Amino acid sequence: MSKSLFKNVCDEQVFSQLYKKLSKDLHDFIYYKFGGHFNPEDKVQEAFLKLWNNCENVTPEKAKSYLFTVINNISLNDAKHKKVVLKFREKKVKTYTNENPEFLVEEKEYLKKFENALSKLTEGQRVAFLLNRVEGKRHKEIAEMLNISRKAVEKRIYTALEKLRQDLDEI
Amino acid sequence: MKKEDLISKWLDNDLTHEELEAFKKLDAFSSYNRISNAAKYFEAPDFDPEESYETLVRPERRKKTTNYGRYSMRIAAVLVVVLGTAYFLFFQNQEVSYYAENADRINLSLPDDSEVVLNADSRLTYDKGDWKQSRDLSLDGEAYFVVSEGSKFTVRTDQGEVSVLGTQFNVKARPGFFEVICYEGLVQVDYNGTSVKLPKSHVFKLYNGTVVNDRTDFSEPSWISKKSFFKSAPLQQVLDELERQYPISIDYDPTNIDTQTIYTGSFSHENLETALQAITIPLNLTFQTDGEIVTLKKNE
Repeated sequence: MSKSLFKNVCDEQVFSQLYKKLSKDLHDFIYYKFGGHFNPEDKVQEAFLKLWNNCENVTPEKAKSYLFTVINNISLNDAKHKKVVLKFREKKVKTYTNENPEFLVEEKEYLKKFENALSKLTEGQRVAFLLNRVEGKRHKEIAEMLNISRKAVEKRIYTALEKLRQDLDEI
Repeated sequence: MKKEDLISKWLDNDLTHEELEAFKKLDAFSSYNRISNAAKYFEAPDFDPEESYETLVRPERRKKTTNYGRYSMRIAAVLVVVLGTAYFLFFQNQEVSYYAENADRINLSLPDDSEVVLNADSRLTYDKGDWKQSRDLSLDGEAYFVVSEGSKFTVRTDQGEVSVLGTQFNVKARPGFFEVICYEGLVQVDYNGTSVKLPKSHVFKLYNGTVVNDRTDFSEPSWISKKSFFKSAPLQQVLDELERQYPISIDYDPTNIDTQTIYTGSFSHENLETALQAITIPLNLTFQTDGEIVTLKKNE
């Protein structure tokens, strides 16, 4: 929404468009930042409610950064001292066709270590890294989401990758 | 190009063909690739924007409230009776039993994620309702266990009891023959009031009242890979096993063939002809098949 006919987001059409366009990114952002026990969907709805209550002051172009800022603040208030718990996803990602038991055990251990290493990254690094590797987002898109420079995103993802490698290649 | 730039470009899916080749030559390429693949396991749960929006703008659809207050006590009373009865009927005694027929086998997952492979003509029974308190099963026949860690895990057979905490082992309880092989961890075998601890790669055999201790070099029972392996076993045992693995019955003249002859070797479960050859040739026997009947004879 680079240019909009609407002055603000008080129109229900505009609002629902925004929801459908941005809610998944907001949801994933909170999930990768704070973990799954956090009810990312609740945070998304809360952020949009705030937007609705404040709709007269927000133009459609500003809505995106408004939402990301708001959802971040809401979650930060909630997240004090809570440790990130990312869960393995239930669905299996199939990368090999013939898996022998040793391979499976090794893979399981690797993922355990991976989970551990992920939680040791800074929030900023983890979010950028997972949005990039899991959601397939380009550096530019992430920069827009997080409202930081493209160079900063690049740095975060690169550092995250190197940290993970150091943690996982040990032993 | 600097290594750091190369990696960053890879991360942004922005490498040219030549750059990609250069990237693949980096020492840590396989580490990077593995990390990238593993990250996908941590994908955020599915999120449906449409549905989420609906629950935001029309929450009343989700929460239907009706006044059940007047009836609640009655409903509760009925529920207590119904659920109570159901509990006694279904949960108190939830005995489950599995039987693998001749020439068949069954792969099982127990409620604690332990795994069992049940060999042909074997029966396994356990109480599902009671499983959380005690991991206790009875076995008649042969089975291979891969036990998840947890409380004591006991396999009862007519000849003895095997208990472990979390490990891999094979139990064979056939008439007149009891064998336990430990493939991982430590297993305790109780028989006739005696107790034996069996470490990894150790074999315990009880044959007609005699105990034999042995070692194995295998990491899992041979029958898992569709072979039966025998080490100094009487022919009788080998033929019994052959009858379990194939839908056949074996016929021979007992005055002519001594079934106590000792045999060492293996036969496949996938081809009867070669299986019969594997048994008969070393023992100087011949065989004749007629449908489901196999006749053994001594070589003249």
